[in-house]
Amino acid sequence: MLRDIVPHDANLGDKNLLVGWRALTTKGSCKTGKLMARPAHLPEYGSPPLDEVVLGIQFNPAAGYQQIRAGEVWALYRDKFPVVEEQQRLAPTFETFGPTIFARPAFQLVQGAEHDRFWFVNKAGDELIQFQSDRLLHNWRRRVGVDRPYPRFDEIAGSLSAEAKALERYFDSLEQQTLDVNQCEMTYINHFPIDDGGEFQHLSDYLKVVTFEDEPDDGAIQYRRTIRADDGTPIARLYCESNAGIRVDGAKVITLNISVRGAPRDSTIDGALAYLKEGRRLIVTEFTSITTDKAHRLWERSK
Amino acid sequence: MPTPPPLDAAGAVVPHDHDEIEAGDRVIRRISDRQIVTDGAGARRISSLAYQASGGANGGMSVDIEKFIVEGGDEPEQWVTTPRWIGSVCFSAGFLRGLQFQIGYHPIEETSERPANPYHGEVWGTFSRAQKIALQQNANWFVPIPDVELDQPLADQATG
Amino acid sequence: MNANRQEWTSTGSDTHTRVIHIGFHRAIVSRPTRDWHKEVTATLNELAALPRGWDGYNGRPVRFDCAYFALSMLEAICPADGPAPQIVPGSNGDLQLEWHMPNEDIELHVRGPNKVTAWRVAGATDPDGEELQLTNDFTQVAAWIRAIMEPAVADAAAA
Repeated sequence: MLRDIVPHDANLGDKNLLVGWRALTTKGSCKTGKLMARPAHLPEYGSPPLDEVVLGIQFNPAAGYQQIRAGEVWALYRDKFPVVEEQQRLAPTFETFGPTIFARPAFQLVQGAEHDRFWFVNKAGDELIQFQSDRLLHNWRRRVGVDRPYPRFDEIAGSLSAEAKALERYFDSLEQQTLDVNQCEMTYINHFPIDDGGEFQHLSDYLKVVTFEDEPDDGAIQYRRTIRADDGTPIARLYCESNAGIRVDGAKVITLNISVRGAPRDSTIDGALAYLKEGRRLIVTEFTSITTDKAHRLWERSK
Repeated sequence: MPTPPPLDAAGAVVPHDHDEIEAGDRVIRRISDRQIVTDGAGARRISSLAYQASGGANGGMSVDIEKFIVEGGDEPEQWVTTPRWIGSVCFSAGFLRGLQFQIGYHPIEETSERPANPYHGEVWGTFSRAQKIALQQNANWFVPIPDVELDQPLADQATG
Repeated sequence: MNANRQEWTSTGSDTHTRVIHIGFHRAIVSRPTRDWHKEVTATLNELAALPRGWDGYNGRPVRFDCAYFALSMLEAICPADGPAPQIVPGSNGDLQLEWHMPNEDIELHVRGPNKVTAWRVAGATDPDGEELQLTNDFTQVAAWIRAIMEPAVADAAAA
């Protein structure tokens, strides 16, 4: 149940956990403000090893919208995101729950007309909006030469909320409708530099989920977990993936990606944002529980 | 021509019971081969999903009104199977109203996506499971589909 | 993209261009071959390509997201050796998955993502059956599917 997925040393108050999840499991508008403020005991890092953060929503296709209108969508954000790129469309994804779940189905639906995925990128290149006919995401990413620190979850979530509401107003101008969110997703992408001969030269220097008598040269870890509400109902799935890699500048890194995905009970934009805020708590908790104390000191953990 | 249907402020047909569709008049529902399934005994039957309302605020189940087809000078069996619909079932308007459905008139004008249908009607209601079962069990062939059986009412099943 | 890796994080913007993941040999437990998978995906592709008005009225092709959701649902409820459903398109871009056995019928009406009406009738003594409104938890429906497989499992064991 819920307590099973929270490590004993997470130092999270029961009240924060239970109150937060109760809000998630009740349909209807989710209260913001005090209820959804950053939980007091949630671990915090002064210098987190984040390389990218993605927050996003997937929604039922809007009535009256066609790809020819993508320029009108870009116009909603163009003043802050003046650069546009085209990418391959993302297939719809859904977290479903049952006894025989396996990895995401490899299913290619062949259809005549497909809507591209557009990236609307800011001038600095460290933030972008991803848009396609059924998806809206906001990415922050660390960029060489951009001296802006990680803006923190609340700022990114606030941006996504404003962008989603602008999109909803636009769709409503085509035909009366509201965004109907059917999936929320968020990913925190971390890079851990490998310092050969230094204090952090092995996977187990960063991750405490693996210990070796003889350190391997490299490795990969993948796992996922169903997240349940207090009544046992599955409400999200957490994915964790770690790989060894080499950055384009030649530096060795370990990547750690933690994602949370699922359907919000309240399919409005506010309901989706409340879901993402709880997803943030899950990710930070998981990150803290699987990384080492010495890595926490490196990242300036303050709570 | 039948009396035009009532419209709302946006010009959409409002669910109604049309006075000129009488209890004994036949209401035709076209059936596509995509709506045929194989039952547990290996027989081919019409899926329950063939009986449902269309989307939209005032959406009902599309039908053709036999009386209006005849009054319009067209031949009903040809009208509902041209150009490619393989079959159709029918109900009496009185039977449908007995299930708490409304049957109204909703002529369709030609668009780039579909031809005109001046004999188009709609059946409005909840389409609950019980209503769908009743429709499945009381449908009669209008244009039969070869090798497809219709459900029998449970009472008839019991007596054979 | 390394074809051996299961890509879970596809919405990152450029991690895969700035970091090259080291390839190495490892045991990949591939997705089990789903007996029904090929048949279902082929049918969903056909239904997503239906012409407008396919039902004689104003029927739409099956919606992209409904098709993907239906497949996700099947992945959660139908074991590899489970029976493939029959798939019927609805007029609104929706679809219905149906299993019809001698003494049991199951119908899953996918009205949209996270909007499923599940219905089961078991035997002539229960003509109205049992109906559930579901979002994304299909544990109960999985039990129904297991139940209709049980006679086949018993037969196989006896053979």
